[in-house]
Amino acid sequence: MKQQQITHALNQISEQAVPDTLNLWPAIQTRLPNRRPQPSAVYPLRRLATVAAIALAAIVVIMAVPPLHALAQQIIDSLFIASTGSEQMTQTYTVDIQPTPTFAVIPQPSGLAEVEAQAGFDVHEPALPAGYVFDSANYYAEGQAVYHNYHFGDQWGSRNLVIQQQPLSALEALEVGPNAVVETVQIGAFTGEYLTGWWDSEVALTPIEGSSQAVVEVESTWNPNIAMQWLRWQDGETAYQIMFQSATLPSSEYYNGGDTTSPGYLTKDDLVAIAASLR
Amino acid sequence: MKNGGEMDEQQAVRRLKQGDIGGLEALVHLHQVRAMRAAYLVTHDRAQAEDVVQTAFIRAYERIHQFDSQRPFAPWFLRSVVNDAVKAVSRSQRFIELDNDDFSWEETLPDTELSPDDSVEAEEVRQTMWDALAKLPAQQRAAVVMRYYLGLSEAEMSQELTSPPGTIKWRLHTARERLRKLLTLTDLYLERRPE
Repeated sequence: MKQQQITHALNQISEQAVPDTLNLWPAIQTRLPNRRPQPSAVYPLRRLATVAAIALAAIVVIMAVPPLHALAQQIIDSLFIASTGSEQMTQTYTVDIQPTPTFAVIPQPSGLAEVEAQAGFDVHEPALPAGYVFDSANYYAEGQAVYHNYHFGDQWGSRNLVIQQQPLSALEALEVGPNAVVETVQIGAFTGEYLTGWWDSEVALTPIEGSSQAVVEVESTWNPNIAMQWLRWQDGETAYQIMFQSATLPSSEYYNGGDTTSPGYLTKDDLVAIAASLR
Repeated sequence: MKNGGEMDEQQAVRRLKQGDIGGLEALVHLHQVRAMRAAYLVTHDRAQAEDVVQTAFIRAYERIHQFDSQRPFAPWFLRSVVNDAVKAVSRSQRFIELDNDDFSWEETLPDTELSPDDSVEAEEVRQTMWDALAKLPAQQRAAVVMRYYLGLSEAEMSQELTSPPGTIKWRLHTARERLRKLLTLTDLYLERRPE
């Protein structure tokens, strides 16, 4: 009786406020992000071999197109330079979907000593915030850049810290959105630049019938709320960059400032402190 | 398909997992009313409830690949809606949350000298419930909604809520205690109404 009474009252209260004719779909449609929930089969591919080839091609494109680097959990090699176009840009490429030895562009992760030997310069290590552990390091010969990767506890993906070091002469321009806000920060005796956000990219890859190629269309929109923070500075002839990612891709947190409350979150000041600690 | 082309829940989830936005639309039409009502009971604010439910559907769309298709969608989704509603209330701090010792259920009772007309009585019971809910902390309000509106068992609530088991147990116990007082007072109120 008591339970029925309270349930009845709750039903009546809520039915008065929310009629059966409610229709949220139009409003939800307008809020849907400009991407799909990673369908299990987007393209009607006939053979698994083709799927594998396209996956390899996609990796190459991701590594080649700056706005896609974040998708591959990698870092780009360039400065903060505002895009001269709109907040949205579309890039179209034709790529070969047949795997060849040139696909081996992604270096295998290794230890810091190993990449230091490959790079030929001293790699400076940070004083890590509590709970952060070393993950791996890579050396990209093309940009003469060393990347060392760290994460908080077991939260790879939602608490990622990547430090990049390379000769200043090898640094390339990084295009950020025209609305990106770049702040000047002081890192010890050096002046650095800090910003938040990244390109929100959707990739459409369409195999060309009767050929071994595919058209890749990348539509990117700058989103200052994407859960990525960037800090860049130079010390003499060496350029540094720190990237911190505070939410897993894809997640709603990733597109809305990240998970800023749970342990391991790093603020701008934390990143500056890490930068100052590099030795 | 059934009901003139409408999808059932499993079909909708399967299509959404394949990247078909129509699957999400079907899930919205299937569950929006119940989700909105649950969120409204927690937030006491229709606009806030609507934002919570819309956001929950969008998150379901983004994370549908994490959802186990072998399980029913509605309990998973509705529990997330209630949790989000609690967070929304906590952020907005719209309610003054009172400790047990400070809570006076008597203040929520309507005037006992009113007409015994059934519709008036029902309205007063609703108002009593509404006022009492508003004075519960958001987490306990959510427990009431989950238990008495969504009809979840305590085991189901414990299974899905993302709080330590001890916290859930305490929250349920406290909510039950307050509910017991509420129901007792409501019964007393009803019993002492003039015939």
